[in-house]
Order: sequence, then structure tokens, then C-alpha cells
Amino acid sequence: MDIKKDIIDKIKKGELKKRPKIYFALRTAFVILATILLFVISIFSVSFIFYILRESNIRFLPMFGRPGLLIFFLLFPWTHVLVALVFTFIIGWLLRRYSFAYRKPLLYLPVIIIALITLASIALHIISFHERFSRFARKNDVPVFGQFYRAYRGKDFDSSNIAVVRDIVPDGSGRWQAITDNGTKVYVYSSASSSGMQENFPEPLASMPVPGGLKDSRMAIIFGPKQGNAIQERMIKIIRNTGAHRRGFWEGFWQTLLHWFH
Amino acid sequence: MIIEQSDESAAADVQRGRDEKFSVLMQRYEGKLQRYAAKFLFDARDAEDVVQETFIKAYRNIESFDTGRKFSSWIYRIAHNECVNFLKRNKLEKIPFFDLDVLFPQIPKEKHEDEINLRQSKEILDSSLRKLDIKYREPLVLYYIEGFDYKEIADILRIPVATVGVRLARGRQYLKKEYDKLA
Repeated sequence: MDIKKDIIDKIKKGELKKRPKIYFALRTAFVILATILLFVISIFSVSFIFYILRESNIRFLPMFGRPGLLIFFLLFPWTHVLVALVFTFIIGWLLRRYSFAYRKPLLYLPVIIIALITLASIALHIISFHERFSRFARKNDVPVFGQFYRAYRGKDFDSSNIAVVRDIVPDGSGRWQAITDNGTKVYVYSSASSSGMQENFPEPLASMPVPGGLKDSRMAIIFGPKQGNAIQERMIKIIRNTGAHRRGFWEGFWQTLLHWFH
Repeated sequence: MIIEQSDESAAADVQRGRDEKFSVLMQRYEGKLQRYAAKFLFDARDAEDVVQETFIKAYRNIESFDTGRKFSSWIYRIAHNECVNFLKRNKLEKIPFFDLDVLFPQIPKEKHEDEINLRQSKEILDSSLRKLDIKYREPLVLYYIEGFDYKEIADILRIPVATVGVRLARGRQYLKKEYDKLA
């Protein structure tokens, strides 16, 4: 077999042709665009976790020990983590043909991708991107995003067995009334009775123990089963009423650690 | 004094439409790729088929070659892929999809004189290669017979540079055992 002659003959007859340069340029452009898109979606997904934790107050659940931690893990938005991990894998697969990706041990690339996604997500959280964008999306009915943010809004009281309230006061009819941090009025019941809600909240908020020596006891985090606009207090923690819990995930995280190790 | 045109310059000419330069490249690489494929497949006719496919693919995709990089690594990469595809199609050897040593390359300790003995005993290397797993065989052939360095082998096989070292070291250890059996 004369390989050289066979191939030259094929080239001369036009049976063997070069792929045009534009083919490879488009392929590279596709890889770049796909990589950017996957990065953007992953960053949106992971930063949304911080937003959910802040908006839903579930970040306070670990303060309540094992029951709170269990519910925290059940309510944690794991799908967003899964999306980011799957996209990390796809990004790595797209970049595998480039020397910067394959010359180093295989673990480096996914670690770097995850680190970049995490840092960018933290940056978005710091500038309150989701808070601003969700207001804009809901107000202007932005396609997809408007519905997306509406679906998550207001879930904090309904689903997470936790309420962050202030000004727990008697309402004059024998019940205790409180206002949540998004302005909803709720009724707080004692956990003394095991059969349904009892209208017998044990003592006023001001006389409750203040763990850790916190100065301002005007905000309470109540953990317990919810029913409509009522919550049965199983456990209660007092936090500062400085709007700190609104300032972001990290403030609540440190508060959680403080109470966990107290 | 006639200075031979470099492979990269000849490839650039092919990209510009001078197809006759491709025959120069084929002339230079046909023997090398035949030898490489023969060490992979252990059959001269199969090696010929693979080499022909390699040149066909090289010509078809010549516009993707970056003339700033080494042509030899590029064409050997194509030859490697063709050899792997041939083995998979004919189910001649098990090609693992994934190997732990690309995640955590850990170079095993070996004595320096092991390497010297292997360089001097190419006959032993040739006869023992068939017994070696393909993932160790290829780096050994590329390093000791084809003369590539670690970075070039990493580019051909698309594996981390550290993994090249790991596989060479393990391949040497295995061949040393075979050599000691025969000695």
C-alpha cells in the first residue's frame, strides 16, 4: 500500500477536502459561549441559595439543635447545588481539549470552576442582586424571572417551621400577637398543650431568657409547627433587633454559630 | 547549505492551499507513525490502515492546527486517537474511560539505575511491551522510542504532565520485573 500516493490522488480528485477554517472558528465560539452561559446559570443558581436562605429565614433553623438542623437540611435548596455541580462537570468536559485544562491533575479544573462560581455568587449576594432583580422582575412582569421570584416569595412563614417576629403583645382577647419581619400579623401559641394550639403563651417576651447576653430582645425567632397564621412555640431564641438578620446570610450564620456553641 | 523547512512551516503552506507540501509531511511522518502504531497494535497491516486514516484526518482538519505549536504532537495525537478507535472497534483491548492517576498522580519511588538499564535494553523493551497495559505502554513508546518529552506526551495523550511521570515510572517498574525474569 502506498499511503502517500493514495492520499495525494484523493486530494487531486477532490475526494479528500480540508474542513474550512470557519468550521473550527465556529466550534471554538460555541465552546466559549456555552462555557459563559453555563457559568452564568451556575452563578445565578448558587447565589440564589444565599437569597433563599435570607428571605426564608431557614438559616436560623440550626440554632434549634437537631430538630432545626433536620428541617434545615430538608428545606435547603439542594437542586440549586445539583445544577451547579452538573454544570461544573459540563464546563470541564467542554474545556477538556485545551492544554490549560488537561496538563494539570484533573481535580484542579472542577475545584477552580466551583471556587469561581462560589466567589461570584458571594459577590452577587453582597450587592443584593437577587433582592433588586426580584423587585424589578415582579414589578415589570419580566418573563420567566417574574414568575420565578414570585414562586419563592413569602415562603418563609408558610413552610419552614420558623418565624422571625417582633413585638409579641397580648391582643386583648387572650391571644398573643406578633408581627413577622415582612409585616404579617401572626398569633403565637404555647407549646404547653400537646393537643392543638392553646391560647396560653407562657410569659411576655421581655421576661424571656436572653442567651449569650444580647442586649436587645425585641426580635424573637420562634421554632414550631405552623397552622395558617399561627405558630406554636416549641423553642424560642432572641436576637438583636437591628435589622441584622435582614443584612444577609453571614450575620445569621454567625448568630447560628453563637447559639449552637453557647 | 539547504535548511530543511520545518514541519510547522510546511503545515502553514498546506493551510494556504499548497497541497504538495502535505506529501512532504507524509514522507517525514509515515515511517514514524508506522512504528508507533505497530507498537500499539502489534500488527503491521493494522498499523498501515491506522496511519492512512491518520493522514486523512490530518489533512481534513489541517486548518485546526495552530502553527505556533508542534506539528509532531498534533499528528501523533491524531494517530493515538485512531489507534484507540481501532482497538475499541475491534475490541482488542480494554480502554478505560477514566483513570484515578489523572486525578491524583503519585509518582512511585524508583532507583535511577532502573532507567539506565531500560535505555540500553531496547530489545527487552520491544518484547515486553506486548505484556504491558496500554496506559503504560504508550507513554513508554512515546518517551523511549519516539523521543518525546513529558509535556509533548501530555499533549498527545491529553493527560496531566504529572500523570505522564506516574505512568512512565510504573511502566518502567513493570518492565524491570520482566527484564529481571529474562536476565
